[in-house]
Amino acid sequence: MVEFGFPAFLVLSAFLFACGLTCLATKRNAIGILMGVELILNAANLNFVAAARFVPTFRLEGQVFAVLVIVLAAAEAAVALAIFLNFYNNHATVNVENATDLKG
Amino acid sequence: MKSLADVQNALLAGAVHFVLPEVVLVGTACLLFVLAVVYPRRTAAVGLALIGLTWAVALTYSVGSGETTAFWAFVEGTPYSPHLLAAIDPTGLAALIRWLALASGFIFVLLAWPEIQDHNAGEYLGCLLVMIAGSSLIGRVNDLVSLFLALEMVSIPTYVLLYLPLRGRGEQEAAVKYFLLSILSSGVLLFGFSYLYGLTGTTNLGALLAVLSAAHQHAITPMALIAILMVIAAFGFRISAVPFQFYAPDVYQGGPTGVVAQIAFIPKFIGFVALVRVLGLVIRPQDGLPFEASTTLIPLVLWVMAIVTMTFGNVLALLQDDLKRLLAYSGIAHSGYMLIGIVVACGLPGNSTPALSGVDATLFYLIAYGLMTVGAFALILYWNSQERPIRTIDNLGGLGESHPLSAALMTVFLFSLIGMPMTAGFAGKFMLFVSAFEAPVEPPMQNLYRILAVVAAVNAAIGAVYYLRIVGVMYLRDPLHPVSSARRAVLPLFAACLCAIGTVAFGVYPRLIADSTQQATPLVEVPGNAAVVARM
Amino acid sequence: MTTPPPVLTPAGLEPAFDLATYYPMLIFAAVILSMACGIVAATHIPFLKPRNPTKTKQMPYESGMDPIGSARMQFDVKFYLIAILFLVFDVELLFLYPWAVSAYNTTGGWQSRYGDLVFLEILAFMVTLTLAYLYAWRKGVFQWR
Repeated sequence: MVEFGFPAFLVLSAFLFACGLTCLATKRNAIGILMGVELILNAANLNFVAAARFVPTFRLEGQVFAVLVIVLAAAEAAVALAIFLNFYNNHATVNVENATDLKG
Repeated sequence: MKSLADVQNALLAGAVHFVLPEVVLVGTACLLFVLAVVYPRRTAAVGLALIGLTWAVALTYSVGSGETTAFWAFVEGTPYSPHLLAAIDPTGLAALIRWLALASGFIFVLLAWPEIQDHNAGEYLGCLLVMIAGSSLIGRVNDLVSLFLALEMVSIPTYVLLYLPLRGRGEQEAAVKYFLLSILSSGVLLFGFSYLYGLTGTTNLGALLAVLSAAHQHAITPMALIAILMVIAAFGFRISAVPFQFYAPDVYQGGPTGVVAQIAFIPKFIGFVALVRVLGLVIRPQDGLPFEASTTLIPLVLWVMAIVTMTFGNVLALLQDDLKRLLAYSGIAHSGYMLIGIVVACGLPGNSTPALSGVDATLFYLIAYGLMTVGAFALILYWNSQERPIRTIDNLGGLGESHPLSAALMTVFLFSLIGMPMTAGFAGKFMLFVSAFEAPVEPPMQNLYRILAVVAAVNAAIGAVYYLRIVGVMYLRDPLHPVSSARRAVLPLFAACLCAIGTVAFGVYPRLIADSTQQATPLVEVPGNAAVVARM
Repeated sequence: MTTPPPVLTPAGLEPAFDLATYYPMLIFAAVILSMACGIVAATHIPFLKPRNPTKTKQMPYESGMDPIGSARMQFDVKFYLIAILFLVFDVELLFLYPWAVSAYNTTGGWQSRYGDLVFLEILAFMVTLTLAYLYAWRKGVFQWR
């Protein structure tokens, strides 16, 4: 079986990270931006898990970190949906370009 | 002799004893959430929160320096350094940071009073206590996992707090903006951490930095460079340094004042402490700092960031009429001053021990900044009322006559923000400038530190203009819209008094706190690569 | 046929790759693919497919109702609330897996000395989750108003 090395995972995670950043830069929808951030978090997760696998001593910290990040992303998504629902109720949109009450 | 695995297991199990006050705080927060649905009363919630905080203070007091002793006892008779093994490190900064977090907790509970009602008191104070626990934890984390956990314990409650008290358009917009940028910074931070972990194979900060230092004797690896730049960017968001500052004015203006006071202090506080830890300025590897072995890139990046941040903040603050926006820009400028200490500590050659290490100057300034900014927000909260909201500087007209005590307190805070002698702001700026001037004029940075100090002095002069403008409005101008003299909550005023006492006391006699900041930053030297390799 | 020797990877000894292990899966995949292709061919290739269009057969749902209105309607907020709650509790349980895997595995050596402490920590975690559940319940999240 072909064994992909660490660099392959690094390239994939860098690609995911770039996708996340692009998503953040182009989306105007708050939920879309949240998805971009989730992509970034998962890119980091991939790095952690791959590093845990390929580090010479096979230490578990990377996997534990990944579990923590998954839980954290869920918690953040929960808060995010609550905030966005509230925002939607007032502004009737989740388009962040409409958030222009504060200026100066 | 104890084996390495034994020591590791003992340190892991013993870590519980080093976070007891934080456990108490989080437990109280859980109870507050339950109380919120069982008996939703503001007084009960505040009482419970104060009991939790007092219990945490009592625990901290009773532990005293026992933590450090217990920590070293784990490795008694073994050749291992606990800083390379433990996830929780109660030495150095830890005790001071915990005291600071708890003290700020009391102040913020006082500030919360006018903003909470029966139906949201439990949630508000619960989130606040989790935040305090997180910021207390940040002083003692020695592992990327616990560091990240502590950071999130602060940021997730902040999102909730920002939109709990009032649900107008402004609050919501502030909450959405802060939330999106904050999770972006968490994501970027995490990506940087994942590279650091991939490079070194460990999440223990001490071990990680030791491995990096050994590897960076001659050149810094590009991956480590990307990682540390990402980490600096993420912490730059927390301390609102340019170019990651753009959310601050909007959030300060739109957010509820009591929460804004928390956002003005706690994220900066944890951002600087975490930055100091990750850059290896507290637990310093023997082989030198991990990120500037042969390049001055990181100190230079921070140097540019410091100058741009303070100048940007001060210049834009000149143009503001909205009081909270002005304080936001002033906070950005003060972040720039605080970065001076970090830059100085970052660029110091390995074996030099100046009287001021830079880190302790930053810590001192952080405390001074917290006192004066939180105090100013407390007074805004005190004066603010439904019928006469305090929004622009003009709203403060005539306060010198109608509210002599609170106007005098505000003057103290503003003078301290300017950096007038006899205030904590002056002592802090003085320490920062001295640390910059004491830094050796040697090849890596030449006389860049002195240029930094001169720029900061010029900036302090610019800053005086807009702070004095507020003082002028309070005392010289007749009120356009007099601040209502309706009966108001005195708790914010009490909090402001406490802050003012601190500001003056630390200004007149800086040793009160300077001694503890100096003792808190002893630069623990951890052995280099050999011990770490033995651990693997 | 002899099996090749195990391979040492960073994660420990792992059996070497052996194609023979995967024969049943390949056969399964081939059967599935041929069935799928056969159905598509039998229904879409002219001359093979039966052709007898009647008015009833041209309806979107042959034995159901015609769709009414747009599919892009708004969902009730309560769906989201329940979904968020499920998501959070579901994911929190992830923390139990690492503990469950290693707690009663006696190779580590820490279980005999620190097992009770870790068990207490897990209990504390479960209590916290229960409190969160109580909070959500008393806040009336589960009532479908």
